[in-house]
Amino acid sequence: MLSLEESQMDPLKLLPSEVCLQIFELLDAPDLARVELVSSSWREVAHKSSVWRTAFLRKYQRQIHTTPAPIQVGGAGCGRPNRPNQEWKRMYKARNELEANWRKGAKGAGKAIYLAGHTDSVYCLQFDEEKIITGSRDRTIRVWDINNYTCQRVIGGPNVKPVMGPKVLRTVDYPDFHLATASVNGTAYGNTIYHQPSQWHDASILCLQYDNEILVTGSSDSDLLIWDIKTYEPIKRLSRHTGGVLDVALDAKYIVSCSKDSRIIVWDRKTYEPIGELTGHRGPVNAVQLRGKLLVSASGDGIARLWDLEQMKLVKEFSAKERGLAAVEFSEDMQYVLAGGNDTITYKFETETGKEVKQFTGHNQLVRSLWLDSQNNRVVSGSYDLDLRVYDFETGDEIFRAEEWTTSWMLAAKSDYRRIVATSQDGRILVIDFGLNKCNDPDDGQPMIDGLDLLRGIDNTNAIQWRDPWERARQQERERERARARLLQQAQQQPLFS
Amino acid sequence: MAGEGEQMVKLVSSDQVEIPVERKVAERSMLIKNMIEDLGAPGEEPIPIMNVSEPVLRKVLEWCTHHKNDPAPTQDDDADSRKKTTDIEDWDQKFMQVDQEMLFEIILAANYMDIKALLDVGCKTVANMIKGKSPEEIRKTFNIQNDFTPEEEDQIRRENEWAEDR
Repeated sequence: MLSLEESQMDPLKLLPSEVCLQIFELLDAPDLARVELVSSSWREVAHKSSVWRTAFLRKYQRQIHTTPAPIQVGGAGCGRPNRPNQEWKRMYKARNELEANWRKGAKGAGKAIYLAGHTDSVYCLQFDEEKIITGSRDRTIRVWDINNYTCQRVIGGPNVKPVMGPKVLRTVDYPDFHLATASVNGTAYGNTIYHQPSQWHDASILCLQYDNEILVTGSSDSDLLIWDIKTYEPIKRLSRHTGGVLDVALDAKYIVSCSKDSRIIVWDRKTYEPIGELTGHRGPVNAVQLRGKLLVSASGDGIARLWDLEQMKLVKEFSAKERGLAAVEFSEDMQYVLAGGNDTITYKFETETGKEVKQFTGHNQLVRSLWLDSQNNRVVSGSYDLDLRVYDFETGDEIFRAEEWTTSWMLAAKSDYRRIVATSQDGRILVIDFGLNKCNDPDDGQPMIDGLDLLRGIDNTNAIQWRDPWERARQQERERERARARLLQQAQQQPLFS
Repeated sequence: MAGEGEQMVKLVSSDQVEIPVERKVAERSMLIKNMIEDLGAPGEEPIPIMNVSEPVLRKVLEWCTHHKNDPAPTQDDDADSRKKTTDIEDWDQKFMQVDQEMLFEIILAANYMDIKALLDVGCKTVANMIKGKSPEEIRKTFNIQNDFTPEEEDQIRRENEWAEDR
């Protein structure tokens, strides 16, 4: 660019302030950090809330690629929608720290919270910023408060009400351990939260999904139940499958269920009437994922298939694997499909060409559950080898591994910007929160990332105060050390013989 | 409405130079478009562009001529902040290869004449002059005095350490 010495001038002095803002709103965090050092007037403009707001949203705002939009699981991590004057720079910093924490490895970040209550394998879960809903082989559905980790409700038939039992499955002395809740089964509180609905599943709850209006559960009793998400009362029972309902997916238009009977049934989201069946799999259909009019499915026959729901027909088969597939995922932009199962590898396929483009490896037993967080480019896999692994969706690199953080098979796992929620055959729910700092250094006292709460999409009134379980012990240790130092000092100041 | 596009209008720059231009080209400017709508006989009555001098107005009209057939901007362009990248198409990039004074004049004119797409290109051009540069390089580029004490600089640097490129 040709620019003469004398024609150089400060845009902030020359251009109207709204134009200057428009320029600064095109800059990202690293540029803004440097711009603030240019001069005090530059710092002032760079500090404006709209500048950081734009930079934040450009980086972290959720992209919607389909109508209807996929269900948001967990939080978006973008603060309270439409609230003015949020602390965008602090929020950006918090997101930045969170991203770093996900990549620090199991020793560096991520603290474990265990929720006890289910008395058998927990097969399925979903969560948002208020609650976690889980379904279990104990034939109950449980609703948990994700902010204070209390069990809010247990929903099941008359014969499966839990009685007093072991409160915590095992004593956890893990360094990443943060908190374990005791089971309330059989206690007075436990009895008040037991809800016996007008209908229930008389077998394991294998899958569930919910949105703002309904909860859909699928069971080994071959039925689906549609529940009112506000009251947890059944609205309708869908009985059409002839084998256990293994997975369910829903959006504002469809409910899709797949079953041990090798069929996929597509239901109308409004009327709950069946629209059609997708047949072709030659084994149990273990998992489905829905994106607009497209559906992917994975089957014990080793094949992942892509379907068009408008035409109710098969679009594509992804290269067959010799062993069965247990889990499937579909990126929100529909460009990639993930499938994993018995051969311990998760395969990434390109939707358009059907080509396998990447393998996510490391597990040494069946990959039971897959979760793709498209917003944050993370893949979470849970395996019968007891481990959870987190991969970078683009590079395929493993970024985090929770090795044997439960005592049995990992059955389901989902994640959002700050946490993983997983369920295990040992009956527990495991939450790994990357917003909580490890506090390995007793003087590095921040229990959680600064500004973490600003990222939440909803106001929260019952958040529990975070307490480091070893805080007391550490404080005592520090006091002892100070006392020792004082004594030593005194000893040195005193004459040796007096 | 046929033929309206080829109709000519007369613009008058701040230094009183009359520039005839195709109406369709001139109407890339919302300011002019609104003025034309208010005029009785747009072809004859000259339209004063008060704040823009002849060389700048000619430059702006060059841009408008090249972009006269662009589709009208939609409302949602603005809504999705993710789309706001600093990518500039080749022709616009060449067009913006002017000295800094002219660049700022074009931005000021685009702002005054309400030509959103040109204002966007101008802002992106300035943003690209800032991106990736050290504070000292930015100061050099725009001839800015550093008015921070070393202590202040240190403090800001510490405050923003987290945001630096890794």
